[in-house]
Amino acid sequence: MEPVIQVDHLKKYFSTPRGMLHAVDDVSFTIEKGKTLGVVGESGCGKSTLGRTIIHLHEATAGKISLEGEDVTKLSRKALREAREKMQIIFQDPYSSLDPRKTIRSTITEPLKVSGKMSKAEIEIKADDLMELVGIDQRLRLAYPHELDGGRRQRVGIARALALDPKFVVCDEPVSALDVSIQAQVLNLLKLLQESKGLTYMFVTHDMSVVKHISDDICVMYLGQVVEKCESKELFRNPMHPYTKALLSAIPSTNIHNPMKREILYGEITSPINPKPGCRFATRCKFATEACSQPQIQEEVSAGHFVSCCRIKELG
Amino acid sequence: MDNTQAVRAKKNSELMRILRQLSKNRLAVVGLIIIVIELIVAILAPYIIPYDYTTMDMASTFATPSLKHLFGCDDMGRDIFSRVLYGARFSISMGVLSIAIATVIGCTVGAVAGFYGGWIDNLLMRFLDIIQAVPGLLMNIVIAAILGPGFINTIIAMAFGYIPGMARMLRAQMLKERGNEYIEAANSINCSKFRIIVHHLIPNCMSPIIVQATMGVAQAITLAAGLSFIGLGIQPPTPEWGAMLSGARQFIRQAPHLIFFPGLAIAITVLALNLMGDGLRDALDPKLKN
Amino acid sequence: MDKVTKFLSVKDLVVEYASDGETVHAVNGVSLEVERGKTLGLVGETGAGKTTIAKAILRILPDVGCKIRKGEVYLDGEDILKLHENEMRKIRGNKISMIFQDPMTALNPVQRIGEQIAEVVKLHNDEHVNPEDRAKEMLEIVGIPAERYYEYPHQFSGGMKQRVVIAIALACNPDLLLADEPTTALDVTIQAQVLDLIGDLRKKYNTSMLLITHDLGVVAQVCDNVAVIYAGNIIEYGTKEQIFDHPSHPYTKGLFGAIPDMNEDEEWLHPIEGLPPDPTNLPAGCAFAPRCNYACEVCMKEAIEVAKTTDGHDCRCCRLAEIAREEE
Repeated sequence: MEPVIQVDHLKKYFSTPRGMLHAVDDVSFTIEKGKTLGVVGESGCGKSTLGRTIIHLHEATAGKISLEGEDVTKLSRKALREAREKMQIIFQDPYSSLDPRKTIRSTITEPLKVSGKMSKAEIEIKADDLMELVGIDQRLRLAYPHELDGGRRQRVGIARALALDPKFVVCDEPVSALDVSIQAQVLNLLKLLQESKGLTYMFVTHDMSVVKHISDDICVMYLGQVVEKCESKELFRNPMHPYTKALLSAIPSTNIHNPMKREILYGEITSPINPKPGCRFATRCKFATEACSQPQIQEEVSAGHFVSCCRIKELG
Repeated sequence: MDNTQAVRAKKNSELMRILRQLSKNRLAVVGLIIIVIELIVAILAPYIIPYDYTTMDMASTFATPSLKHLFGCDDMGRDIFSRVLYGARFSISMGVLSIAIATVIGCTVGAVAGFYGGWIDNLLMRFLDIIQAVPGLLMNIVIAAILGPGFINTIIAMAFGYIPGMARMLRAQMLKERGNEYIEAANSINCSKFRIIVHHLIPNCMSPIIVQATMGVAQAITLAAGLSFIGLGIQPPTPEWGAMLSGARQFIRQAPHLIFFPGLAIAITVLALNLMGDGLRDALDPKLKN
Repeated sequence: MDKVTKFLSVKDLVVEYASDGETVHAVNGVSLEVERGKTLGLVGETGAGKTTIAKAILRILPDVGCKIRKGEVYLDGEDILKLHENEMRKIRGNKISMIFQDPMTALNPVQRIGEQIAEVVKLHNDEHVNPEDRAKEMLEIVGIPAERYYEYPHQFSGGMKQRVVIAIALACNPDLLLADEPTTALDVTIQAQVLDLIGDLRKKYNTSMLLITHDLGVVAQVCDNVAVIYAGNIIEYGTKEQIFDHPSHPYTKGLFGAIPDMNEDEEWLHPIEGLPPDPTNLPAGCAFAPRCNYACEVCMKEAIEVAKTTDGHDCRCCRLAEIAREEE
């Protein structure tokens, strides 16, 4: 079975006055139908840029993106329009991702209007279905975003993303801006929709507990590179890369009787502009050696578990 | 779904909210009422003026205000009250039309520059720089002088000077809004660039433009009066307020009422527009919701 | 009242805002205490009133549209709400300091960071302390090289900016630190650094702290006592152990239940259904009742009193006995 999304050696660089910013640097993965790939990392790791590049909000600098087996890396305008209907995105900030001057009904029907494939009546029916699907009361149709709370706004964002019946949805930190009790509601909704519609997700987040709950596989990113990639449970059971370990141990745990021994990472994150070759984590890694300044190769350390660290065999 | 939160799905359209906010500012409401009255007067002028504005009654030259002639008569025996009321048509329409033209052209230029950026932005901004390099009033005078006096010519001359300000203001708003996620969202659902600019960006950029336009009408009315005063713009006997001031200049000592009433008309209109503009600015700024 | 240990004591604080012609009941009769040298975590979600409480203590609420309707705030025995503004100014930054949530906007972008620290020292200290020296000392203490005194905020990363904010807050050795979500805007590895730093400094100077957060993990790491706030009311109060091991109020239980568990694999999360109430239109009775699985007639109608227990674990709920029975 073709994976829904396959990304090979994807690169996205931005040209800035201070030099070339390596936002996404040689990232590869596949996502099977109905599965969720969690992408975790901290600021500047490139996870949001990655999502946006896959769905063509940015144009890839190099590499290949395949959607259901077809190469969608560089597309003509017409082909792009078709491809976009299969790949959608849910944004992080419920406060800036909805047009403040449009009613939520208008926001939900817009993708349908723009695609021009449905009649007015059909659009209305579809919009009703979408609102019901994501759990927004019909009497809120004419409400404006500023009248709704974050959770409801996010539901509108989800309805908009699903309007064109996409196969693949990039969820860019969709619950990070929400309160804990609302987060749980929205996460449940996303899972429900995935099961009922067979959606494939790429779930970008910095919150490890959320990513654990929702992902089948996880990719850990640091400064544009993938440092570790494996099945979700495996990552938490057996993290290998020093950064992954530090990341997991930095999370403040609610277990007050057995707090994990925390590893504090010293130093600051280096700049993604004109980075030197080699491991970008080396400046903060307590195991760094000379060999770390060479370009790192991603190795399959155990079945399905990939790590980019030249010292992994010795440390493991 | 859930009924705990009282979500106000009442007819809470943006317009209603703005009007409600505006109504809390008493001065702004006063300004609005004055403008509405002036508009009604301007529209109904031909039907409500007691005398025709050109009728000369040589027996009543320089007549002081009385019950027969509420504002007195000018040097040609014409009823000043009728002329002031009729003159509202010229002054207000010149102010509104010149700003309207400047806003449409300015916003188009600003929208294109702000959205596309790059060399288009550069080219357009440098072009505006050239226009703005000439001091404002001088620019208007030069163009008015080239085109000659007259209603349409004066409107064009005035509009030209306001275009760069409007363009820059819209461009600045564009640059700010362009970075918002809802624009990325519009891209992701295949909106054309045109649709993004017209449907999404411009409506969200209009608040400061509306305020600027309202204040601009006040400035334009004053400018029109100024141009007429110096011999461009509208010339007497047309009862444009500035022209009336110009014609009455020489009589200021012996018959100040010739200057006083048109001058008062200008002052009140400008004040009312400014009050309204200030009120609009506060009403449109969501951060001042108090 | 035991004035020696209860360094900060807030009693029945009520704060209202005027917004859009309506009254927002932000804080509705909050009482809490912080002991010397200890940390109280104030936990709640957006709009619960936490930041308002901190600003009320420091008396930096906006003058227009905001009113402290009633209540007392005792700092070391003295009611600071009754102080004149001049005297309050001597306290702010000196005896009580605040760390704000967003380091990106908490610093003045056109002033050197060293000068921003020195400014606090200048305002509060006697002449024999050189502000610049003290500022450089503080920079070293928070882990920033003293040479960076002369740099501007934009030259620092988020984590470092927050350290500068901490340096400003602690420059005059305050007795009480109000920390409003100090690490929410930071990456998790930087958060760990900053929490560690705050912890070390507190121990060194024996500073009391009121930590406002929505993150129960942070509370577990840093706090001694916990107060849970919902719709402007403290609904549960106790030591960290009491709250984490035996959460009593349905809302507190709901909060713990809604967090994805790192150790268990669950198919579905357990959200708290519904939404927080509208602060301009609070329901009669318990504010949480509309969302509560255990709510009864009384809950919907009457204001609920705090049920005090002998060991200091308080809960604002009248159904505790029934809930305990149901769980057995």
